[in-house]
Amino acid sequence: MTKSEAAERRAALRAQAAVVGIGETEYSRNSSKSAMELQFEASLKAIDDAGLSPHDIDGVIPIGITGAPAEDYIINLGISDLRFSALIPHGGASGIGALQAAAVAVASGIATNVLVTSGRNVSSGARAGARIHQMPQFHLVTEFEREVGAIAPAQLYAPMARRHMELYGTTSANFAEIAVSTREHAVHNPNAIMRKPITAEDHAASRMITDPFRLLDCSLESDGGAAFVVTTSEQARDRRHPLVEILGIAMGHPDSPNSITQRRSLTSVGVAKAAQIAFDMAQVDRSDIQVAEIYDCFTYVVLCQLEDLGFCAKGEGGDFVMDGKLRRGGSMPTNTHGGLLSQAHMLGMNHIVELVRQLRGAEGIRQVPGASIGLATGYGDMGDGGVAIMRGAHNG
Amino acid sequence: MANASGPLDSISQAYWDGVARNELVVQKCADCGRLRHYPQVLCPACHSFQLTHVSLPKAGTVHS
Repeated sequence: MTKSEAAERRAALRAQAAVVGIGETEYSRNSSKSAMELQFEASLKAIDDAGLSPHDIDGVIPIGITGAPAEDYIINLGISDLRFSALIPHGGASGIGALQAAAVAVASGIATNVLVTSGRNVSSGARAGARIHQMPQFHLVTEFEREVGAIAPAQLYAPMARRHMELYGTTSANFAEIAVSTREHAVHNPNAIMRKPITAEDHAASRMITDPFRLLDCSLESDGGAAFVVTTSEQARDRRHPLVEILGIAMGHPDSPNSITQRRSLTSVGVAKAAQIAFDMAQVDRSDIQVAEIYDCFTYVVLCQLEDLGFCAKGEGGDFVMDGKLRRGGSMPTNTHGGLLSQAHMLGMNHIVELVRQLRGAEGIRQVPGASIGLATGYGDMGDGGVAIMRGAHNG
Repeated sequence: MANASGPLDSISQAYWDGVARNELVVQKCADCGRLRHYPQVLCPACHSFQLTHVSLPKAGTVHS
């Protein structure tokens, strides 16, 4: 198959699949529920939101390692005929990867209603610095880098941000703008954990975690669950919520996917490979994107992805964010739920849920006026990336 | 310095044996000669399974 034939086949998937239901639990620091309970709670909410019964689910993709595997869904939901399941082991990029797999599954008729779901207790349970070294995909990082002090994600990602600062003159003030704008959105979200407004001065005064990341550059560790249901666009019409369909979706990975130190370039991540494929498939331009939910495990990771997505050139991300375009009322409000930095760390599942809410057009005080085309990214396991471009039908 | 837990995989045993001798040991493809680190099963260039090990010089250049 030639490249253009592959592009034609991807284009045929455009607007064929839709997110028809979304669900989230309360996000907290101490859920007092098991990860499995949180996963099922979010799942039932998403299924109900879709106007479906649990028995209607015939595909399941569980996200992350802390919740229930697909087999548990057969029993707990009473699924009589599970026709599709998958494991997507890409950390925070797994949600977009699962959305991609689910879209292909429903568009091809393999399954009808695919549930993508996550539940985790990573605030009250094991923290990231311990978790990642239990994952098989990090065995080289565990063996060769943990010994020299690269233990938690903040330490592993810090050289990427520092390199960007050295090459392009990016500053901590640029990171501060992302922390502040994200918090500004979270203030308006009742289901955000961090709702007290912050300033650039607060960012500069927050304690250094690992240079150049200060406390307010780092995402939260949270308890909760998030889920969504994917079906065909055809079946998603005439449901209780306006249609939100997938226009373009793609995944990409760095050549050294897990070990950051082994990359020739420290300042580009997997999203860079996925972005153009997703935009071409969606047949939209960067300027068409009205709202963005960009994976934000660290402030710098948002800046880096804005470049890799093609919203500005590599190295220009610092200047790009400083005009307030990511804020409420900005030209591309970003992380309108408060993101991983201020709402909760739900592995980016909350980014997908929020994008669907925005594109339904009934988000209330957080609604980006008239938003009908938006983008969500996933970023995980040190550089795996995913891009989903979606369209809401409420405006036309 | 040695990994407290020892090698996680037999393909990295030679590296840790080198560390114990104060040497930096990396894999070298026995077919195409390409050096590689971290240890891998296949040569990323020619996909050969065949490998030897070499000790690298103790002087080098810091990239960044």
